[in-house]
Amino acid sequence: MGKRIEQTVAILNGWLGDYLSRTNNGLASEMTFRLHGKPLPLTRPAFTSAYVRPHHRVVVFVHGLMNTEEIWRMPDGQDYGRLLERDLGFSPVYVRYNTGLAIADNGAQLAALLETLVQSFPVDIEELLLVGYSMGGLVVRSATHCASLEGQRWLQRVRRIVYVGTPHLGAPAERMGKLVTEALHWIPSAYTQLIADISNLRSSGVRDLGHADLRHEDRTRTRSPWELRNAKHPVPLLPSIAHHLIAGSMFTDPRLALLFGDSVVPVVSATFGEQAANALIPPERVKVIPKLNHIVLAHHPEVYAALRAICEETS
Amino acid sequence: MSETIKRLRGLVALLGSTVENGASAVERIHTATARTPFRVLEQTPSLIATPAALVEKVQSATVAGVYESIRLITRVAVKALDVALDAADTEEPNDPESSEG
Repeated sequence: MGKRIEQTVAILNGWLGDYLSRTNNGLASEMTFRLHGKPLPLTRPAFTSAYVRPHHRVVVFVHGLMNTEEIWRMPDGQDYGRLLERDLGFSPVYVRYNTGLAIADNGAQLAALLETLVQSFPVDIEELLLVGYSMGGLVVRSATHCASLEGQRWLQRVRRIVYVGTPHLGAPAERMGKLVTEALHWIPSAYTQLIADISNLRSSGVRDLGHADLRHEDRTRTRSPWELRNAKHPVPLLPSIAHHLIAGSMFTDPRLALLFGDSVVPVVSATFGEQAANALIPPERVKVIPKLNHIVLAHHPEVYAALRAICEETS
Repeated sequence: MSETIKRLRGLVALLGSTVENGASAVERIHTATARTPFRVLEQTPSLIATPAALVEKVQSATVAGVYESIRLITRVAVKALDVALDAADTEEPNDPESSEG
């Protein structure tokens, strides 16, 4: 099917994905590994035929809200995965998933898929590098949380995780959207009620972005709807892994950059802001790239250079 | 079932559900809007209020009937398209995307 259709289906999944999944609608995407635009069945023969020269280091890319793995494609047709394979000998794997499902559900599915990957890959995986873009970073965090609780084996292979434009402290746009919807509900007019109802159709995945909810129970925690920063996150980063943060910024003014960042995710949310130290992230693992908007972060040479530098570090 | 047919079936179901829920939402607005002049007429002497109440009942029944027929026609159309997709799926020999997990 054409890329435009795939992209349209991805947008529908991001907006209504939980409804599509709940109603067994054929438009609901299932979480799959993909390579060269095709799904990769989770069997050793399938991996063996897909990877002619498999490497002992595997990099897994997890896209963001309403995206497919196409988001990683650069204008010249390259992508971070192919470049890492060419330059540093990583075998790339791309994840596609229904971004409208709760982040906790996608995290659990990703954890299960990675466990199968480790078992089915043609050679022993020595290092599993995870790269999450935007919502994908939160899905990766949720997956590592699941794996640590369940003692899954793939987690032992993860030394580094790279988060690209990930709203670790939540996305203010979603919080503001929620506030506006609630305000519309208060107005006793059938017209505004209708607008509020339509606005409320947004999926669980979108809602989870507001406060970066990684577990179902996170939604019940008390938080002010007015706050644009989340002071405490109930799921800390795993200390056994080196976490690298890459953020974009459209603004030269540091205050604007902190608040609006790459135009979707504020720098403070993508880099943990003042909480970076508490979150076990030393300053050298935080990179803010100027003049990059949120979309471009997924396929830009400067971000690849940062990613490559991270991969070249001995861990 | 091929991936294409599966998605088409999903699209038809989604469109059907959108039209049905959309019709119900517009019906709510229509009813609420139409209620306003009748509320004013209720305050008038019974010479006007009584026939107005009768007119409101007729109007409400007509509105409900119109929107219910939209929902009914939509359900029938969705079912017909489903049957057509079933037939197309049986005739389609193979689809390279059908192996999709």
